[in-house]
Amino acid sequence: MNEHTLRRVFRADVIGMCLVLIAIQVLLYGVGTVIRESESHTLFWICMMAAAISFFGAHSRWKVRQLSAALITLGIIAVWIAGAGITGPIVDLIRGLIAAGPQLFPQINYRFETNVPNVVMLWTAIGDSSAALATRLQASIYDGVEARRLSDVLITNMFWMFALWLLSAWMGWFAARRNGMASLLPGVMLLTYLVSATERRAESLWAFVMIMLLLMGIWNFKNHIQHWEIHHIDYSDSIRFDSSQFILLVVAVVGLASYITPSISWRDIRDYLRERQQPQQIETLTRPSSDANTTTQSSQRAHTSSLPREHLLTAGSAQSTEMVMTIKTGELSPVPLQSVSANAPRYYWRSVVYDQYDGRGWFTTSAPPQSISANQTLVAGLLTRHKSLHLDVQMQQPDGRLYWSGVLYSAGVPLAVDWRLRPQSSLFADQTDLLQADMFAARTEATSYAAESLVPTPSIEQLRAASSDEYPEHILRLYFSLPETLPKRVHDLAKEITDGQATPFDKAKAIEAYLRATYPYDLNIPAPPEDQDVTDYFLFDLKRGYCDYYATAMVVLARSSGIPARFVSGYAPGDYDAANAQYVVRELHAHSWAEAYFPGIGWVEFEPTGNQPEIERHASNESAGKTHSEDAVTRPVFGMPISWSVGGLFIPVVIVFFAILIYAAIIERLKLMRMTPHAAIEVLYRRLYRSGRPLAGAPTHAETAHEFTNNLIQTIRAINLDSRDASHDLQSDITDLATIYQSALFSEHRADQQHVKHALMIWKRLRWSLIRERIKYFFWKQNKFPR
Amino acid sequence: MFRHIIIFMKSTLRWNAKAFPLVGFLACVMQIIDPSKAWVILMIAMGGTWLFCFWWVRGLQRSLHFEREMRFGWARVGDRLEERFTLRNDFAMPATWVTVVDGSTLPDHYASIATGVDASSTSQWKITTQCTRRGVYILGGTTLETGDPFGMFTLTFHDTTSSTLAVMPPVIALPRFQILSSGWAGDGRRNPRSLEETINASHTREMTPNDPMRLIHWKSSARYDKLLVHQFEGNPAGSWWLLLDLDHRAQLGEGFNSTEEHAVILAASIAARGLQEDHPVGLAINAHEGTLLHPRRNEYQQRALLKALAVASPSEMSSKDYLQRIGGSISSRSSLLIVTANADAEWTESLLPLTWRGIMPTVFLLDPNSYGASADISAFSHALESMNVSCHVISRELIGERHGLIGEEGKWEWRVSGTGKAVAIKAPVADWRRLA
Repeated sequence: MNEHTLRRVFRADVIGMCLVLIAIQVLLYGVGTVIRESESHTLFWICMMAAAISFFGAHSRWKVRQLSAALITLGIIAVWIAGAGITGPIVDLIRGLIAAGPQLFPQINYRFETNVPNVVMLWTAIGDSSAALATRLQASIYDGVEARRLSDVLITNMFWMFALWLLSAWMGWFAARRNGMASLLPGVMLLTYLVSATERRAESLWAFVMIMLLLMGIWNFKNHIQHWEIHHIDYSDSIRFDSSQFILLVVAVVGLASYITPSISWRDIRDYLRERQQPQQIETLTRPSSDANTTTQSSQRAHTSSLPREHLLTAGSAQSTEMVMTIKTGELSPVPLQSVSANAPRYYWRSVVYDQYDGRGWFTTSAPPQSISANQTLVAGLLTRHKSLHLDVQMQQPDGRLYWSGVLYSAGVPLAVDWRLRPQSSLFADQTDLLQADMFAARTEATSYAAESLVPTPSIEQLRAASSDEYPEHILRLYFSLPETLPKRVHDLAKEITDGQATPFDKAKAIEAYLRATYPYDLNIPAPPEDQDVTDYFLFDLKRGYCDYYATAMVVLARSSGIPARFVSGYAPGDYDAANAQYVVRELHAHSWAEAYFPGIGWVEFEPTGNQPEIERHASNESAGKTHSEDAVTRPVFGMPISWSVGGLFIPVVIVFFAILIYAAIIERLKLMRMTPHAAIEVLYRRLYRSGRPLAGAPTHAETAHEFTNNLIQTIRAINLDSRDASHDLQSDITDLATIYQSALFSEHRADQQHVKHALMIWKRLRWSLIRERIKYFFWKQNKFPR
Repeated sequence: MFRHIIIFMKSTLRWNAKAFPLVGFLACVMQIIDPSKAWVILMIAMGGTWLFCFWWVRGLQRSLHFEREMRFGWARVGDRLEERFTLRNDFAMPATWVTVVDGSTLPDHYASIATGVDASSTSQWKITTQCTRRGVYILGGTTLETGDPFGMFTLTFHDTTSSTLAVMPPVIALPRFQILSSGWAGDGRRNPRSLEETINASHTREMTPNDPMRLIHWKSSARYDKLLVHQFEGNPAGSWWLLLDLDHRAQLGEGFNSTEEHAVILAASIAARGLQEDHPVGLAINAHEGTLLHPRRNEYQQRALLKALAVASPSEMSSKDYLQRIGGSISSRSSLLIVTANADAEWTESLLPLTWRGIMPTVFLLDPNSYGASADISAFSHALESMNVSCHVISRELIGERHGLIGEEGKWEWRVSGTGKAVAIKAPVADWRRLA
C-alpha cells in the first residue's frame, strides 16, 4: 500500500466517520442495560440509517426544520415497523406491488406474474400487526397517564429505539459539521444517566467519552486545515503529525486516568503506607482485615451451627431501644402532624438467610456456581408478583459505620446495593476487583447506602395455585433437608397440623397459625439442653420462646410437610416515623421469620411469632394488582425505576440546565445564522436595547442608536466610578455592537455572516455584564437617591 | 527584546467548549451527593481534559512571544522586501499549531502562515516579496491564533504594531530631452550664496507643507488670517515645475503597462534628472488627491516628489481645468514640464496665459497609439507648435524596456568560484528593524 493510499485511508474525515460508527455501537452497548439485547443488531442498523440520513441531509439544501420533521417522521415509521415486526411482510408487499405495476400501467411493456391474494394477505398481516401494536401502545399510554409502571417491554424498547434514532440523527447532523462535542455530548449524558442509575457497563461511558475527545481533536485539526486552505494560508505538514501525536497522547493519558481512578482506594494506599512505615503494627492492623476476608468468603464454608442470636437470651439487647438504623422507602410523604397515624406498609429487613438445620441450630451451606441459560428468569415471578422498592438505609449501630464485610439490610429479594467491591489489601493484587471498585464509595466512614429490592406481592389465589411439583433442583437439594435425629413426634405434629390442607400454601398457613396460637412469646427462657433437638425442645417441652424458636419450628415443620422453607434473620419493620417518612429500627426489633418457596412466585414470608402482626395478603389477583399499583411509588422511566431522592430530583434539573446550555451554545447561534445578516444584527441590537434600556433612562424623541449607547455608557461610567478600567471593555463592547448595527443599517457595504458572528460574540459577553450592571445600578440608585 | 514586544500584544482567550467544565463540575458535585463510577469518569475525562487544556493554553498565553522585523522603510517598484518572523515558545508544552495572519496591505505580500513551535524553542522564517506596485502600504498588524489540539480554547494575540512602507515609482534613465528655459538670458542669475532660488519676491501665496517658517509673510498672514508665504521669482535657468496630468479620461492600458503607471515613472525620472542637474523641482499632480510641491532642490525633495508620485491616482478633473486652476501657483518665468497622455488639442489653450507670464512649457505626451488607441496627434502637435511649445512624444516601449531593469534593493548577487562555492558579491545592506 503506497503512501497516497495510506493518506486517503487515514484522512480526518474517514477516521471521523469510523469513530462515529464506533460511538453508535458503544452507545447501543451502554443502552443494552435497559433494552432487550436481542434487538441490538436491528437497532444498530436503525441508528446507522438515522445518522446517515442526517449526515447527508446536513450537506443538502434542506432546511433544519424540514430535515428535523423528515427525520422524526421516518423515525416513527422505522420504529413502528421494527416494533410490529413487519419488515418482512412490507418487503414482500413492495415486491408484490412492483410486480403489479405493469398491469396498472400498460405503458410498461413487461409482464410479471402477480399473486394478488398474496398481496392482500400481506396487507392484512401488516394491518393486524399494526393494530395489535397500537393496542399495546394505547395500554401503555394509559399506564403512563395513571402513573403506573411501564411494563410492556416491547413498548419500552420502542421508546428507546425512537430516542436512539433521534440521538443518532443528532450525531450525524453534527458529524457533518465536524463538531465532536455537540455530536456526542447528548450520548454522554444519556450513558451517564444509565450508568449512574444501574452501575453497569461503565466502560461504555468511558469509551464514548474517549471517542468524543478523539473526534474533537481530529475534527478540530480538519477544520483548521479547511480554514487555512480557504484563506490561502500556507501550512506545514508537521502540524498534522504534532497534533495527531498530542491528541493520541492526551487521550491515552486521560483515558488511563479515568479508567483507573474509580478503582483506586485511597484508604488502601494509606493502609499500605502505614504498613510499610510501621512494620510492628502490621499484625494488629491486618487482623481485622483477615477476619473480614474470612467473613467475605463465608459463602464458601459452612458456619458452626447455632441459633442465630443467642445474645437475645440475655434479654439485654432484645429490650434495648438503641437505634440500629433508619430506612426511607419514599412511599409515603412526611406528615408533620404527630396525631396523624400513617398506615405504613410492613417490611422485614432481611440480613442473613440460613438453609441447613442440624438439630442444634442453623448454618448456611456454600452457594455453588449455577448455570443460567439465556432468557431464564433469575427471580421467579419477577415481572408479575413483585414490586420494586428503593431503600435509603442510614446506619446508626454498630458505631454508625459500614464495613466491606458487613451485613447489609434490605427488604425482599435484594437486587442491587450501591456498594462496591473492596480491592484486596495488597495493592493492585487483584485487577478484577480493583477495576470494579470505586474509590469514592469505598470509605469506611460511610453510614448509609441505597438498595433496590423486589418485595413479593402474590395474592392468596396465586399462592394456592402454585404447583408443588415444579421445584427447581437447587430448591429440592437445599431446602427440604432435615437432620435424621429429628424426633418422630415432630414429624407427626407436622402431619397432624397440615392434615386436610390441599395446597402447600394452606399447609404453611396452618403451621403458622398453629405456632402463633399455641406458643406464648417469652424472652426469659432457659438454654436448650445439649442433647436435645431445639425444635423438639421448643414444641414439646419448653412450649414458649422467642422468634428464633418460632421461625425454626416453622421451617422444620414446613419441610417435614413437604414445603421448601428457610430461616431468615434480620429486623422487624420497626417504628414508622411519619414526620420523617422513615422506619426507625431499634435493637429490640431484631427478629427471625420463615420463608417458603412457591414455584413461579419465589420466596414468601411467613410470620409464626405470636407477638408480631400477621402478614396481610390479598385474596385475589385483582386486588393484588390494584394494591400493587397503588403501592408502587417508584416512578418507572423506560422500565427503570428512579426514586425521587436527591439524585432523582437532580436529573430533571440537569436536563433543564443542559437544555438551556445547548440553546445558548448552539440553537441561538444556528437561529441567528439562518437569518439574514441584517436581521440577525438587528435582533442582537434589540437585545442590547432591551437589556440596556433601564440603564439608559427614558427614551427621547427620535433617539438614535448612538444616543442610546451614549446614555447607556454614561450611566455605566457613573456606576463604576471607582473601577473605570473594569467597565472599559463593557463600554467598548456596547459601542462596537451599536456600530455594527449602524453599519448594517446605513453602510453601503452589506453586512455578512462574519459581522453576525462578531456581533453575537459581543452580545454573549454583554448579556451577563448588563445583568450585573443592572443589579449594581439598583443599589447605586438606592444609595444615591434614598427614599 | 521579546519582553518589550509582549507589551504590545493583546491576547484574548476564547472558551469553545464551555460544556466541559460544567460537566466536570456537575460530576464532582454528583459524586459527593450520589457516588458512581459514571461521575468519576466524567470528572476525570471531561473535567480533567478541560483543566489540562486550560493549563496548556494559559501557559502559551504567557510564554508565546512573537517578533516581526523588516529591512527597509521604503522601496522602489521592483525591490525585494524581506521580512523576518520569530516565534518563541518558553512553555513546557508545544504550540502544535499557530496561525499567523498578516494584516499588511502590500500587494502580493503573503505573510500569513500556519506553523507550530515545539516546547521551549524558537521558530524563525522569512518572507520575501517583490514590490510590484507603487503606493503607500501598511505592513502589519499581525494576529496570532493558537490553542489546544482539541479546540477547547482559542488563544488570539493581536500585535497592533505596524509600519508604513512607501513603494516609490521607479526612476529610469531617459534619453536627453530638450527642456526649454523661460525668461531672458542672464536674467535673475542666481546668487550662489543666497538661500533661495532668487532674491526677488513676486507675490505671496498660501503656505503649504514643507514650506520653511522663515518664508512666512507675517503682515499678509495677519491681514488674511491665514499663513501666507513669499513667492519668489523663478530662476530662468533653474525652476522646473513638473505637471503630471492624470485626467482619467485620457488614461489607456491596464496595470503596469498603462499610461498612468508610465506617466508616473516618466515624471519620477524627469524629476530625478532635474534634481541631478541642480534644478529646483516642483510638482503638481492632477490626481485624485491633488498634490502641489513647490520647487526645492534640497536632499529631501526627491523623496518628497517620489512619495507624492507613489500615491498618485487618476483624477476626475480635466487637463484644461486643472491647468487653469494650478496656473496661478506656478512661479513666473519657470520651466513647466507637462507629462500627459491627453492628446486632445483643446487643453493646450490653457498654456497660453502661462506663456504670457514667461513660463515656458514642455510637453511629454505618452503616445496613445502605442497604448492601443488610434489617435491622430498631429492636431495636438500643431497646436503646441503654434504656441512655440516643445512636445516630446514618448512611446510605450521607451518606458517599458527600461522598467524591466529596475529594483536593486534587497537583491542578492552571487558569484560561483572555481571550487563551486557560491560567494555573495552583493547583499542587502540594511539591518533588520522591528515594525514600529
